Amino acid sequence: MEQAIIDILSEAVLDHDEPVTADTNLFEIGLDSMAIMQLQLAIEDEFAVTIEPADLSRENFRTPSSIAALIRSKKSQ
Amino acid sequence: MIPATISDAFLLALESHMRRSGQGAHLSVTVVELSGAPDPDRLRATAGRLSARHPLLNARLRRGRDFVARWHPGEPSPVPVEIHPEGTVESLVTSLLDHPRIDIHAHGPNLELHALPIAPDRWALVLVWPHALFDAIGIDKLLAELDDPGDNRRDDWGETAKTEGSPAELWRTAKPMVEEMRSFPAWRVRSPHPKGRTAGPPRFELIRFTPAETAAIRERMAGNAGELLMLPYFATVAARATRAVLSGRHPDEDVPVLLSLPVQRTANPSKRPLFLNHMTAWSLMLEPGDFGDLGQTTKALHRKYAGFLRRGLPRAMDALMKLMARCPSRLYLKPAGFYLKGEICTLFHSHTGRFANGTDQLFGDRILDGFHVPTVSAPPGLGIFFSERSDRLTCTLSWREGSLSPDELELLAATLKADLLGPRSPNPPISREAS
Repeated sequence: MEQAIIDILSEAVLDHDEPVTADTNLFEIGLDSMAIMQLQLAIEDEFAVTIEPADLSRENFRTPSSIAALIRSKKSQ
Repeated sequence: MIPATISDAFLLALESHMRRSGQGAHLSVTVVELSGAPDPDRLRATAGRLSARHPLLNARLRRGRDFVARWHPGEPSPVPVEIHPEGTVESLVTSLLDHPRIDIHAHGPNLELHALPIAPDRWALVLVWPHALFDAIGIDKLLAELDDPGDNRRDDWGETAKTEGSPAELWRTAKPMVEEMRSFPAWRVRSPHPKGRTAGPPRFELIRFTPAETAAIRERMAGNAGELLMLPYFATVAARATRAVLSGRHPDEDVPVLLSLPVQRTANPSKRPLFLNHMTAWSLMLEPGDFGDLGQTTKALHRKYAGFLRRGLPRAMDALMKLMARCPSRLYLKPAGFYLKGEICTLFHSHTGRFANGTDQLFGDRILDGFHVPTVSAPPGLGIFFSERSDRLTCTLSWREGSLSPDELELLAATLKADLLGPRSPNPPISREAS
């Protein structure tokens, strides 16, 4: 799942030259308000989950790993 | 000649409308508050270097026989520098906007630098610039290179919209945005500028929040809409304040708000060019039923953003702008005016994030604060703009004289503050500076 998130980030959301890893701090490489909204939609489409505004926290979106953890918790609900 | 971007073409049309209706040039002002005192020699050296480095600082913008807008660089001439021994930032900015010298239709400097001591150990650097030549990211990049001693000429412009194709292909791509515009007449969109009234000169007021107030605003945003939804949150706050004014004027109407929100096309700021405009405009309609409490309205606007993205409207808007780029300025705004009965949108709004991001000092002096003062056209006659620096949020209210009464301006500011800080604003009182 982490790799799928990294692919979304690299192909559709971020314009970043360095490779993104599961532990890359996304806020340090330009994950801004608009990018978060794009990412949210891509995640909802890819993983068939609904991300509520309350889920859009720094903690949940800090790294691809933390986003994957959020998706897993959503899928288990 | 340097091709204008499709965003420049829109701004040229807007400026053409402003000039035809006696509103003058579409200028913006950026104020940087610095530690220390101004050094006139260093400022003049910087101004000369900038002019030699960037031919666009002396260029004019005009449409050719094919109606395509292009920048035509002129002979280098120094960027004007003026040292103002006394006064306030507000009076200086008002004076500069009331007596504009920059004219993008003619060759000549497209940038002015003004310096003003504002305290024994504090001064303000004031930049005047035409909106057709820079966007807010561009001005951040210009600030970042004021201290750069390099004399190499730079080619830092170019189109960032990726939409290509024949007119027929562009029309097919643009169709969803055209359909979106055709839905607008279902709502009676109004803006603060009263129809038929001649727009007066640009006016502005700053609402400068303290670090404690800014922290409270962030906390309230997190509680209402989540800590990361800055974009729809501040747009919602601006929309609600404007709606309060319009509802006061038209108490028997359910007032919608059509937002025109600039979105940068290039995600990575380091890859955005210094010059020209690289934003697409997202037109998002908040219908009367979308207005609940602050959290509900933010969620509604968030859904509108999502819908705009999901339906591919950003690409459609770019395709439409690409088609319109060949349209004479006089006709450019006609379709929008037709669907919106003479309006463009309800208000202009942006939150440009951290002011002068990545730049901590200029001329050896520390940046203490900063903000932009964009002027707006009428209609809509109002813009509400935010930026942050040093953990302080600044809100710039920008309007045309005649678009808002003093009471309406009070209501606008009070509604903004109530939404941002909560009904019970903390002490000390917010600094409010009017032009």
